[in-house]
Amino acid sequence: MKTGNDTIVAVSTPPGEAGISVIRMSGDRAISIVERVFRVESGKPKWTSHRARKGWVYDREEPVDEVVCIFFRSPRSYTGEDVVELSCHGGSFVSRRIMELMIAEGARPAGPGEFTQRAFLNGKMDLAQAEAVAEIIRAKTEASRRVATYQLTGLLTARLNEMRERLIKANALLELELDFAEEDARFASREQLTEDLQDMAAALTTLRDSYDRGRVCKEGIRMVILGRPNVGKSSILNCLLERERAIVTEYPGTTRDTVEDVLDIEGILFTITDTAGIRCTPDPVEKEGIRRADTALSGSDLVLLVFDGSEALNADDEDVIRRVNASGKRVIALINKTDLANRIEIPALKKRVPGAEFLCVSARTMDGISALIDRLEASVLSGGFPHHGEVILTSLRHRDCVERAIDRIRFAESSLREGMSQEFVALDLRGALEAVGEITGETTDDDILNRIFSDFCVGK
Amino acid sequence: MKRSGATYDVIVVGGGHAGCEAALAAARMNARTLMITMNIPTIAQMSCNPAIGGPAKGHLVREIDALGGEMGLAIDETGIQFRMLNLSKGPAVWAPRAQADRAEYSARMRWAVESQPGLSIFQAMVTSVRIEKERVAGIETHTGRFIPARAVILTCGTFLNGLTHIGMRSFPSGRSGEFPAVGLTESLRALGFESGRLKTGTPPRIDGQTVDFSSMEAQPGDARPRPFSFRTRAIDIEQVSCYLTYTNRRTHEILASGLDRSPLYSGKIKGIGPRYCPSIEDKIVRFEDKDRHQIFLEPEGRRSKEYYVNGFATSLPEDVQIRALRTIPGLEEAEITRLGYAIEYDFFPPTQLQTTYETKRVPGLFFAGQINGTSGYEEAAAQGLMAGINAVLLIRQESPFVLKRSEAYIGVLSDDLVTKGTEEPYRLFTSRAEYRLLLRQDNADLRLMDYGHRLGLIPSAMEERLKRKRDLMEKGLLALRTIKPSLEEVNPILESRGTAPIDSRQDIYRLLKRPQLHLGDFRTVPGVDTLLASMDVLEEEVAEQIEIELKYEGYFTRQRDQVERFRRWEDRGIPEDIDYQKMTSLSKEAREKLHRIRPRSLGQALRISGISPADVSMLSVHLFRKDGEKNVPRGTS
Repeated sequence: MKTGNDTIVAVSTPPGEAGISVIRMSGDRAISIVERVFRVESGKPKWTSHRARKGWVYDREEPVDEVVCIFFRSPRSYTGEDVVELSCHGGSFVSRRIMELMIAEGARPAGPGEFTQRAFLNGKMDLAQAEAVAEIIRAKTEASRRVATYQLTGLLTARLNEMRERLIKANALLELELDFAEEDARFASREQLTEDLQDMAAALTTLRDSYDRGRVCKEGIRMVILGRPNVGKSSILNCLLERERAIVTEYPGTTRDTVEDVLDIEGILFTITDTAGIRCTPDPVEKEGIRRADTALSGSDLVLLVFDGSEALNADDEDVIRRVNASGKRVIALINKTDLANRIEIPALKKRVPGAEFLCVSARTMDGISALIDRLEASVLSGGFPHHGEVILTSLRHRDCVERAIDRIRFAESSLREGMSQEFVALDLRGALEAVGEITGETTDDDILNRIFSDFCVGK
Repeated sequence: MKRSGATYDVIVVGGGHAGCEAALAAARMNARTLMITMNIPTIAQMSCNPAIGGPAKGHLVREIDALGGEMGLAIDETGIQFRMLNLSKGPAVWAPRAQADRAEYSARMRWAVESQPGLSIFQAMVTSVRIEKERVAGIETHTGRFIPARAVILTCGTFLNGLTHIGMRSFPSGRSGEFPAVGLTESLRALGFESGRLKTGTPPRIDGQTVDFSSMEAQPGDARPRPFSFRTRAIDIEQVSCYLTYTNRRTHEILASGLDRSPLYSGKIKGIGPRYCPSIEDKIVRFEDKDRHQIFLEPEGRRSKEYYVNGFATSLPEDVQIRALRTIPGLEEAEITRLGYAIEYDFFPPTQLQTTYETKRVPGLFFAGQINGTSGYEEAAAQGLMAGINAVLLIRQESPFVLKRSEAYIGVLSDDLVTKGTEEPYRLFTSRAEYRLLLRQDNADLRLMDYGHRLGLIPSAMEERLKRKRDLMEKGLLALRTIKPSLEEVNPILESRGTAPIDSRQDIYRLLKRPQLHLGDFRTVPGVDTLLASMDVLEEEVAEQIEIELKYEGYFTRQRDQVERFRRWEDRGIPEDIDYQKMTSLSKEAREKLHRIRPRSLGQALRISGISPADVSMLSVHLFRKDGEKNVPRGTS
C-alpha cells in the first residue's frame, strides 16, 4: 500500500489506432519513476518544467518507443502535483506497454476521474475548466461502463461478487469472535479459514492471469512473420489473407518495410506484420527494414518463424533464430516450400527452437496453409485464449485491484500461520474486500455485521 | 442555586447516562447548566443489565475518561466484578468490562451531578422546546413553566411515548415502573423533525435466594482488576461472581407455546429491535436448530439478592416467562422479582444532526443518547459528553469539537450516526472501527487527553503525567535500538522464557518483537535497568506501550498508511450552504441523499450509502464551480 499521495498513471488518449498516445502520470514520485524508463541521448534528462524532451523509453536495455516527454512541476500542472506526460506512437500496444513499465516502477493505474479529483483537491480547477472537466468525467464513467458491458456476459461481476461474499463470510467469522467474545457462538476454525484463503487466492490468481487473455480479446493478437530473406514470408502473408497484399518476387530483400494487415480468426483479430528478411547487409534501407522487423518482434504476441525447406540452414537463419529465442515469444515455426525437395534437417532445427510448434507448408500450392489456420484457431480456443463463458479481465485497473486483493489475502494467510489473533487477520482481509469492491463499486461498511446477524445467534 | 428567573447557558433534559455526562461537561466548562429530570432518584439508572464495558463499549468508556468524563470513575468506584475481555487476542480488542452495583452506581453518579458547582437539578417533565428567532430559546415544562437557555440538549432515553409490553398487555411507561415523557415528540415533530419507533427489551430479574448456584458455572472476576479510569490508580475490592447456565429443548418448547401471545410475533410491536440483542423468543424462532442458548446470571449489587438473567430478554406473557425459566438448570425453583418486558419508544433519526450533535434544523438544540436511536450506556454517555462540550463551544462561538474516525471510537460513533443513520438500535462494535488496531483502550489517554485538557475537562496534573509518559515512551523506543547486550547476558533470559537463543548480538528492540518476551525480562541488562528506573511509577504503562508499539509495528504501519490515504478526503471540507438540487449532473438519488445528510467533507460524502466515488468526483468539481475560489474551507474535524 502506498501513502495517500501515491503516484497514478493512465493512458489519457482514447484507445485504438491513432498518430500518438499520451500517457500521463501524477504524484510525488512521477519524476523518479519516469527517470527509470526514459532516457535522452545525453543520458540523464534535466527536468525543466514545461519543456518538451525527446528521448526513448526503455524496458531495461530494450528500447520500447521514441517519445516526447513533458514535465510539469508542482503546482503548475493539471493536478497540482508533479506531472509527467509522455507522447508515444499511437496504438494501444505501445501505450499499454509504457504504462505497465511505470506500474512496475511503482505507479498505480488511475481510477476514473482521478486526475481531476486530484486537480480539484489541490485547488487547481478554475471556473472555465470545471464545466469541461465535468464532461470528461462523465465520458470516463461512460467508457468504464462500456468496458463493463464488454466483459462478455456480466460473468466477471458475478465472479467478483461471489469472491466478495466469501470474503465477507470470512470476515464475519473473525469479527464474530472479537465482538461477541463472551458468547456461545460457532467460531472460525483456523485450518478451515486458511484453506478458504488459499482457495480464494488461487481463484483470484486465475482471474488476474486472465488479463493477458482479456487484453487479447479486446485488442487482438499481434503476430509477426520473421525469417531470413526469400524464405517466403510475404507469400505466407498473402496466403493467410487470401489476396496479394505484399509484393512477392524471387529476389531476396523485396520487402523493405514492414507490411501490416488484419485477419479475423474465430472472432479474434490477428494483426499480422510481414517484415523485411533479416540478414547481414550494408544497404541502409534494408538495414532500417531489419530494425523495424526487430521492433515488430518485440511488440508481438506470436511469431511465425519461416524457413526455406529447400535449402539448408545458413548463418542468416541462425541469426533470426537467435533473435527470436532471445525475445521469449511464442513461436510457430513454418518450413516453407514443401513443393520442393527437402534439404533442411527438421529434427536438428526443432532442437534449435525449443518450445516452438512446427508445421510444413507450401505457400505456392497452399499446402498446409489450412493446417496453419487450424493451428492459429486452436491457439485461440485452447492455447490460453479466452473462450465463450470464461471470465476474463480486460482492464489494467481491474488487474491491479485483483493483484492487491491477492497480496492482502497472502498477508492474512501469513498472519493466520503465525498465530496472530483475528483482528490482525481481519486488517488484511478487509483490505482484500476493499480491493475487490473497488472493481464492483460496492461499499463494504455494514456487510460484515449484517452477515453476522443473519448467520449467527448472538446477543445476551 | 439559581432557580426561576435565572437564564441558563445549557439545559440538559434527562438524567440518564447521556444527560449526566452532558450536564457535567457543560458545567465543568463553566456554563451555567440545568439538568431537568422526571425523577431525581433515578439519575444514572442502569435500565438494562448492571454492567459497563465490553468490546468497543469498554473502549468508549476509556475515551470518555480521557476526555474528562465521569463514567470511568463511577464504575471504578462502584464495580463489583472486573474482567478484561479478549486477553487471548491482540491489544486492540482487549476490552474492560465490569459488573456494577446498580444502586451504588446510580448514587455515585447522582452525587457527582449534585455536587458539581454550576450545575442545578430540577425535577419536571419537559413538554416542548421553544424556538425564537429561528434558534432554541428554552423549554417548557408540564406545569407550563418556561425556562430560557442558550442551548438545550435532549437526552430523553426510551421515555418518549414509551410503551411497555408484557404478553398481550401494554401500558405507557418510561422504564419499568416509571412514567413516559408525553408531548415532547409532538412538539419536535411540529418543528419539522422526523421521528421513528424502536424497540428494545429486558429479561426478567429473579430472587437469588431461589437459585441453585451449585449447578451453574461460576465466572469470577480477574485476579488483578484493571481500572477503567486513567485517574484510578488501583482497584482493591472483594469481587463477586456471575454464573453461567444454558436453556434446553424443554425451555424452547415452552417459549414456543407462548408465541401466539407474543407482542413481537402477533404484530403488536411495530418498533424495530436490535438484531445483536434478540429476545429469547426471537432466538428460538430464528435459530431453531440450536439446542441451547447461554444464560448469564448477573448480580444486581452487593446489597441486593436480585439477579439479572442476561440472555433471556423477553416480552412473552408472565406465565410463559416463569415456566420457561424453571426448566433451566439451577433455576428450577426460581422466583421472578421483576418481569421481562419489551419497550417501544420514539427516536429521531440521527441524520438530522450535525457531527456535533446539534440539530441541523434548530440551532442551539442538541440530541444525545437513545433519542438518536442508539442503545447502550456507553454510547449514550459518549454522545452526552460530546453534546455537552459542543453546546458550550457553540455558546462561546468557538470552533466545534469533532473527533475523526481515525482518532477515536467516539469519532466512529458520531460519524456513523450522522452519515448513515440507523434502522435498528445502534450499538458500537470494534468491527465498525476501520482503524481498530490504532484505537486501543490502552492508548485512549495518548489519543485524547490533550483534547480533554484543552477543553478544561482534564486537570493539569493529569496532562503533565501524560506528557511524561509520552516522553518516556519515545526515549525508551529510541534507547532500545541502541542496547545490544552480550550473548552471555541475554541468552539465559531467552531460554528461561522458552524462546530460541541467538548466536549474534541483537538489540533489545528486535528481541522484544518475540511474543514471549517483555521489557521487564531484561531488567538485569545494563541500559535496560536504568531505562526502567527512569520510568518509576509509570513503568508498567510505558513498558506496555513500548511493547505493543514494537511487537505489532508492521500491522500498525499498514494501518497508518490507510489513515493517511483517507486523510486527504477527510480534510476537504464542503461548505454548509451548498445547494445540491442545482447539481443536475449528479443523479437524483445522489442529490437527495447529499441534501439530506449534508456531509461536511468529501470523505464523509463517500461513506453515505449509495453515493459512489464518481458522484463524489462530480461533487468536487461542482463544489469548486459554486465557490469559484481557490481555497475550499477545511473540514470541521
